Amino acid sequence: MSDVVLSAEDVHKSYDGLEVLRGVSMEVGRGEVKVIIGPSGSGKSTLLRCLALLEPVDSGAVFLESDRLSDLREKQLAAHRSEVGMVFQRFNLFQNMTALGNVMCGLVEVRGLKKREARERAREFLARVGLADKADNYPEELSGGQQQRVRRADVCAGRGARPGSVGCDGRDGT
Amino acid sequence: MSEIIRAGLLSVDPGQELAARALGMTRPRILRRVIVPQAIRIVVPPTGNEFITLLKLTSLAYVISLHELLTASQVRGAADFHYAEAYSAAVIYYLVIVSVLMVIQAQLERGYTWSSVGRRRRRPVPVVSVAYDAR
Repeated sequence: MSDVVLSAEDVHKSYDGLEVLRGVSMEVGRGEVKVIIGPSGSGKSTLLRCLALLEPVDSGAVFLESDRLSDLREKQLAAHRSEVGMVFQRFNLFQNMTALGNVMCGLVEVRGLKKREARERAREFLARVGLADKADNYPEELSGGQQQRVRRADVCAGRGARPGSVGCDGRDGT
Repeated sequence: MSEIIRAGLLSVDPGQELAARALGMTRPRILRRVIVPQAIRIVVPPTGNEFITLLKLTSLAYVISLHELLTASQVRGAADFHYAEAYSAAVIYYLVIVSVLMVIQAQLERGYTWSSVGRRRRRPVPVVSVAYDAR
């Protein structure tokens, strides 16, 4: 068994009495790909949001490597969220920024990189997903697939320096 | 005015905040970099409208015996009964001020257009060119 990067232990989550997750446990090892399949409304997105630390869990725990993250307060959580990347179902790119700006945003605002370094890194990752020529376009000018690739470049650019994991919600058009 | 701003802030897709949170941004940063810039785009047109309305409503200030533009032209007209000329002058003044406000608003809106094509295409239409087009 490879070393575990992200894991959930007996996670419970319910919304207004509707039980969505009932004791989910899972582990994702380094370099491993896990796929979650289920009918719509079965809680796939909820599980991913719990793993990305965007939703507090009712009981159970979420671990990143050996750190128990689900007990942390909101303020401390923000720092750890950057370690778990998330590609959303509807991509949620920032509408007020270009593709390049979107990728740079996390690097500058969260990682504290210098603008120039961040720009270089962002360009490199955009080129990796084949969107070097779309760097100055705004999200509304990109197709769904292109937006998803921007988001992926964004998430991958944020990783790299430190290990982390990426959750992709919804169909992945790769 | 506060309702305009409130509507602007509420109109920003909640997914934007979610994505920013997922990136690990803190609340103040999310507001400053993501929510507010997007809200401004929604807020600018009604705010410009509000300003122009406010300007036109200054003519009501005569009620508290303030000597504003319309009163001034009325007084001027009453001096030699050339009301038409005096009021025409007032019309021109109002038109110029409103046009200036309009151009400022259009510039602001253009700054908040998030499409690289739109920045070039969506030019503010100055009043003069409307007359010009009609020939």
